[in-house]
Order: sequence, then structure tokens, then C-alpha cells
Amino acid sequence: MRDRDTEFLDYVAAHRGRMLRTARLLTSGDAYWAEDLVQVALTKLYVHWAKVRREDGPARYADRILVNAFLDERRRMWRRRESSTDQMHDPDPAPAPDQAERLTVLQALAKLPPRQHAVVVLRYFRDLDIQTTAELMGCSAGTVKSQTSRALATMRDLLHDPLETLESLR
Amino acid sequence: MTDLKDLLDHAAGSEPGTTDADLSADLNRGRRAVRRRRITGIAAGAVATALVVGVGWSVLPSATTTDGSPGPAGLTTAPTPAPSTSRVIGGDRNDHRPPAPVPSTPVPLVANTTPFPGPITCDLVPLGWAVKVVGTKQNGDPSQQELTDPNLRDPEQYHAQSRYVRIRASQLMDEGKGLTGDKYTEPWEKLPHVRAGKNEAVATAPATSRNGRQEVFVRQGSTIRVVVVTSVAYNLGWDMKTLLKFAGSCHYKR
Repeated sequence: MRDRDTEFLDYVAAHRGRMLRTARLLTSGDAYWAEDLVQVALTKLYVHWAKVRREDGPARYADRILVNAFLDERRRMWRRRESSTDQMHDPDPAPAPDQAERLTVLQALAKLPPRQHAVVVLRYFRDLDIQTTAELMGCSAGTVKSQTSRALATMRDLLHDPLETLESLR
Repeated sequence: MTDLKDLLDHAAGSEPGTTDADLSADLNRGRRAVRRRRITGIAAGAVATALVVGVGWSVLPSATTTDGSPGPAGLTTAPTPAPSTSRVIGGDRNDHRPPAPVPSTPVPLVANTTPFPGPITCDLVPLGWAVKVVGTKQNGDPSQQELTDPNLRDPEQYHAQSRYVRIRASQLMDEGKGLTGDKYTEPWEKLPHVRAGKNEAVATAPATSRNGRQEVFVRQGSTIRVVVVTSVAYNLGWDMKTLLKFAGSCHYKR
């Protein structure tokens, strides 16, 4: 048990920040939801630590849980019923060099369907290849390609005119 | 797509530092989840076991009744059929006497307050019937006990093997195939079981027994001791359920 705890803590210390950043993108900037996703992923990772170490490796498993937790949450009705407001409830948002640009990107991500959203984050933020992304999401490489293509088309439309997009947030 | 990567990198914000409090909280959440999982696993196992036992118990054709008395067998066997004159009773082709008369209503079981004379006694007896020791040693036990109706008028006018219930002691023996009851070639575990009171039993249904004879082997708990109850009593009018109820009340004297 102590070995497991030590290994787990080493892993968390090294990867928690990266997981949280990924989760921030998945949740389109919702810091609380991002923290929830990371906690869920790490808890499941601890429970299955022995098996995970033998098979996929903790990083792959943690990513899979993170993505699945995000997709599950997006499917739930209560989450769909939530609507965005013009009030920023996060008293201490993650700093960024350009808040407007950051908000535009996050809003564009939020407008993507869940799987396209996840594909963009995994492929262009985490730099995962098509095959790895497909394995993490439990779909075929062809699906990843088509989701990526549609997601990029949508993102392109939204990001080509950032001011207008930013305006729509207000 | 370098642009998109940069945009995403900015949007994700800076990498937050991981504090000791974060680590400790993550570890505690993990430990709690493991504990919950273990408890859930144990609970689920217990529920599954209870279900299996419950289903098995209900499938076995006799359960204890709610008043604690030995339950009905749950078998839908018909009462002992009234024999025709052409029927061979008791396997004795030379005995041409008719069988004892089948009563219009089965003889009821009543509580027994007097222990039987032999090594086995029963908590229930057929109303008005008497018991005596007959025969010699059986499988190391001293005797058989026979229940008959002392009020049966002129019993000799009826076929000898149509008017008694016998109880004898027996044991399961292992002769290489597992514990096996006498008269059986299949091990006890492989035979279809029924319930006789609180115990497991093997019964020969009238349809498969010789000449309508009903016989019940009642294993005493998980021991190798068996109480064998054989009924050829046409004058009881019992079905297998009633015989199982009676047999389930029989046990070795304590």
C-alpha cells in the first residue's frame, strides 16, 4: 500500500498541472468543473493503480478517464440546462496574456459538440496522434479524422472574426 | 495548426502549482474510494449469496412454514392412488388380499409427546396410530420402527404391505463415488433433493416407486446419518407432501 501511495503521489505531483490545463480546455474554462474532472480521474486512477501500471500506464488511463468523465457530464441534462451568463463567477481566473482571445477560444470550444471538442483538445493541445486519440475516446481512427475535420471547420469560422465572436459573449 | 495549438495553450492558462494539500486530498479521495469499493464488493457479494441461497431454497420443493413447523413438500404429487385389484401390492404376487382402504380424508398429523421406542423419534405422528419396534439391526442401528393403525378393523384381511409406515436408521457411505445412501447408486449430491422439514431429503415419488410405495431419505443436517421413512400405508391417504412433513419431523434421539 505504501509503494502504491508513493508512486501515486509522485505521479500526481508530476502530472496534476497538465491534467488541470487539459480539463480547463475540455470544460471551456470552467475552473470548478475542471477541478472536478481532475479529481474524478485521479480517484479512479488510485483505485485501479495496480492494474493501470501493468497495462496502459497511468498517463493514458488518466487521460481516458478525464475525457470520458467530460463526455459523460456533457450528456447529462442538468449540465445542458445550464446557460452561460455575462457574469464572471470565477474570482481568480487563470491569467492569460490576452483575455479576449482566451475567452474567444474557450467559447468556440464550448460551441463544439462534445466529441469534436475532446478531439480538438487531445490532438491540438495534447499533441496526440490520431490512433492514440481514437484509443482514448474508444472510437475508430476514421471517426477521429472526421470529427477533427468538422471541429476545425467550425473553429475556423468562429476564430476568423474574434471580435464578433467576443461580442456575442456579451 | 501551430496557431491553434498556441491559442489552446493560452486558453488553458498557466500550469498551476500542485500543493501538498492537493496531493494529500487526492490521496485521501483515492483511499476512500478504495474503501467504498471494498465495502460495496462485500455487500454485493453478500446480496448475491443471499439471492442464490434464497432462490435455491425456494426452488427446492419444501420450505419451512411460517409457524416454524415442518413445511409442505411443495410437490404436487397426487395422493397414493387407490390400487386396483389387478395391481401387485408390495411386490408380493402371492398375496391376493386387497389393500387397506384409502380414507376419504387423509389421516392428519398431530404433535407427538411420547418418544418412540427405538433410536429415532418423530415430533409428529398420524392421529391415532401406534408405533412399535420391528425387525433387526439395519446398518448398525438396532431396529426399525413401524407405525400402524391399531383401530384398523381386522387388518389381516388386507394386504400385508399396504398398511404400515416404517422408520429406520441409515448412513451415507462412501464407496469411491462420494457419500451414497443405501439403495442408491448415485452419490447423494447428485440426486434431486427436496426439503423435509429443516433437512435435505431424497424422495421416491409414487410415480417412480415400486407399487406406489413412498420412501424418503432424510439426511440429518450435514452428517452422514439418515432417517429413512417408508410408507406403504394406503390407509393413511397421504400424498408426498404430507409424508415429507412427517419424515421431516423424525430425528435421532438426542
